[in-house]
Amino acid sequence: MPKKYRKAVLGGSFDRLHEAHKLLLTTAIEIAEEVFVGIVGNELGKKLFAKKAHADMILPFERREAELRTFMQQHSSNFVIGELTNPWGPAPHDPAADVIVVSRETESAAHKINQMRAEKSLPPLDIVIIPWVFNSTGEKLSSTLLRSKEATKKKAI
Amino acid sequence: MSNQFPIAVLHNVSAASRVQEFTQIALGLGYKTIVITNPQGSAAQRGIPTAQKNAYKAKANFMVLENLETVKELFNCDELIVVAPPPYGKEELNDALVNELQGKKFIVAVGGSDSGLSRMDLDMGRSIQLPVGKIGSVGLATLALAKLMRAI
Repeated sequence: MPKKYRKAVLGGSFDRLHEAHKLLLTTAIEIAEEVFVGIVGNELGKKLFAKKAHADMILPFERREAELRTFMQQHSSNFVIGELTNPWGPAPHDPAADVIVVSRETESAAHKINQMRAEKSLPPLDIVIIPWVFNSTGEKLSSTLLRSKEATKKKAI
Repeated sequence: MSNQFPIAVLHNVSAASRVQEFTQIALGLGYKTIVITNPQGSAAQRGIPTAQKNAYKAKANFMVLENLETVKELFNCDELIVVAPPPYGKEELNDALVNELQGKKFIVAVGGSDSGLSRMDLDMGRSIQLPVGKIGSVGLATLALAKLMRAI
């Protein structure tokens, strides 16, 4: 069964792999023959995570990567996980990539990547935007929310 | 209307944001026709105009219809696939089903509210479900639409 796209690219911190991450990853796996997942490395994380809530609780790259790899191995036979050392990864210059899967928060990054590709005379990536996922109490599921809940629990103990 | 398949239908929706989100996802995944059935409240007043604009920009067809029965009547499809929240689907959406749909003209219908579709709606076509975690109705729609695109 051929898939619509040759290669999907996506990226993120993937801290505390949750249902919204899984929706993002599974959608990419469903639509593309090959998936490249960029995961923010420890060095880049020092810059990118600085302003995030409970940044000190973000899991180290090795743990985030291991969780991500386990999930990908269960759902895909053709994927590559790469450490991101800059916010864009290979997406702006990968000629094989033809789609980018993003969340609503990161849609603007996809447009920026397409601008960068245009400057390199590469075709734009199709952009697939994944909706927000809400938990049972109606809160938008995110790594930040999970860290906040953990921090609150720790305080209470 | 040429190249109208695959068709994605959002049924029984009242939130404008839900219409916009669904349209954005379906267009992003490559669906050629978006149909909204039985829109109410802000979905009808604000959601439809924005979604129609986005569909026009994406060169896709966009229609607002009364109900799933009208969709079946207007489009001469081989299969109407109705996405149900687990455990209400009669079949799992798996590779075998996707294989079976290859080359067929099919319509995918999803519910526009978190409670999903009524039993009567589910019985309008083949009701399917996905073995996934708690990702909400829009998340479910996203995965179903993505998986079914493989049958094209």
